[in-house]
Order: sequence, then C-alpha cells, then structure tokens
Amino acid sequence: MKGFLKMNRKGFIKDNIISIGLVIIFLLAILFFLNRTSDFGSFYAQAYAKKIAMMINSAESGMTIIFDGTELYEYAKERGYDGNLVEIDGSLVIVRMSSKLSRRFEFFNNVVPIVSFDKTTKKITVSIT
Amino acid sequence: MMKINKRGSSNKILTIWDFILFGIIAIGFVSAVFAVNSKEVDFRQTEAEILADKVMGCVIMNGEIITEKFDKIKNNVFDFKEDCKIRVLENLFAEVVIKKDDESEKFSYSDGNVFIKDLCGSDVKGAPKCSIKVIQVKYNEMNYFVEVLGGSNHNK
Repeated sequence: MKGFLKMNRKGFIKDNIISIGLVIIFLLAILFFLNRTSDFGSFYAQAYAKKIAMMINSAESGMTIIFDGTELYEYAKERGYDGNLVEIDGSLVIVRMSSKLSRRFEFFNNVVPIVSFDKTTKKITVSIT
Repeated sequence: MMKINKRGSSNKILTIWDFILFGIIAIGFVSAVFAVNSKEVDFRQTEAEILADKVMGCVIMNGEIITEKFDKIKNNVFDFKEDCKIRVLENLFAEVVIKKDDESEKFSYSDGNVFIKDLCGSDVKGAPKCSIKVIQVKYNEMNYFVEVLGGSNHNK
C-alpha cells in the first residue's frame, strides 16, 4: 500500500512537470510567432509612401520639401538594408525597408519629383521640377 | 507521451479542453497579428482635400475665374491633366462646376470614377472620402459660384 502511494505521487509529479513543460513550449511557440510576424515595417513603409505621395500632390513646381525620415532609416538598419530607401518610378513612390519589403503609392500631381535620402541627417528631400 | 484524461484516471497531462484552450489562444494571437499587419494607413480624406484645392487653384486666381480655363470648360475642351497638371487616377474623382448666382448659366467638367461621387457622404464602411469646396467669385462684374468636388478611394 505504501509503495503504491509513493509510486502514484511520483507519477503525479512527473505528469505535472510534463504539463508545465508543454504549456511553456506553447508559450515559447507563441512568442516566436509574435517575434517573426509582429513587424511594423510594412506599416511604416506604407505610411511613408503615402505621406511622400501626399507631399508631392500638394507641391508646386520649383518646391523642395525636406522632412524627417529617422524611423524609416532605423527600421531599414534593423534589417541590415543599406540600399535606396525612397525612390520614384514614374508616378509611383516606392519606399523600401529591405530588399524584400517595399510599399508603393501613386501620386496624381503631374510633376517630376526627385527624391533623395540623406543618411547622415536622416532627412528625406523631395524636389519638384 | 501525452495522455488524454479519462474519467477517473489519475494520469492527467493534457485534457482535450487544454488543447481547445491552446487552440483558441493561438487563433486569437494569429488573427490579432494579421489584423495589425494588414492595416492600411488611410490618407483618402487628405488626398480628396488636396485634389479639391488643386482644382480650385487651377480655375481661380486672385479671387477671379481664369478666363482661359472658364472658356475651355464652357467649350468642353477642358482637361485636368493638360490644364491643371492633375492625373485623375481610376480611384479618384474630380469635378468643377461654375455657375452664375441666379443659376442662369451653369458649366461643369468632371473626370475619374463616378461611383466615388455617388458614394460621397455615405455611411457605408469603406465608402470614399470627399471634399467639397465652394467659392463665390467675380467674373465680368457678375457673381459666380465655383464648386469643386474632390473624391478619393485610393488606399493601395
């Protein structure tokens, strides 16, 4: 009888340890998933592309608009991306956060803008010709 | 390895209810992440305002209607791209209406997606955003109204 109780308690502890282990594995899996997917890079790229397009839309020929792009730079840096962050392709503003992640937005103002990003000052310059 | 709980059994690692609970939590996390990642930044109202301002600035200068533009609208040869440097994209709508204050004369020009105009001011989810601007101006010593509508459903 004593032996049976001892064995039962042992089994109970073992089962609980396994249960807790499984819950921890589940939580770790969720944390891993969140770490991989909860990336606001796409959101920022989209916001910057739209913001730049709106600035181009409201600008007149001969204007130069300079604004801060620190967040954009920091996100790209986190991904180890060192290429062009902002570019213009016809009437599209393209914002790149990495070689794979980019967002684009079309502007309606029929002008030819030139966009550049200064990595020292972290400023985006939009010149309308 | 995993033993499903049976009634009366002392060996309890994970019950079917634990699996269901884990499943619900996992689905909750996945859907929350997808909801956040697929969220669009909505600039449609800003775009509609800019569009309406651009059109207004294109036909009016110093509080007067630009004769050349007005003549083009009257003669139906006005073009937003050529006359206002505006490319009215497929998910935009722009309209300019010039009328005498007694409505004895009324001319208009529009371009873009007319469904946007129809849905302006609608409470429907995802309805386009619009901006209406009205200015009273002088033209040949007479009072005219210039009404401009800018609409946008441009979100991607």
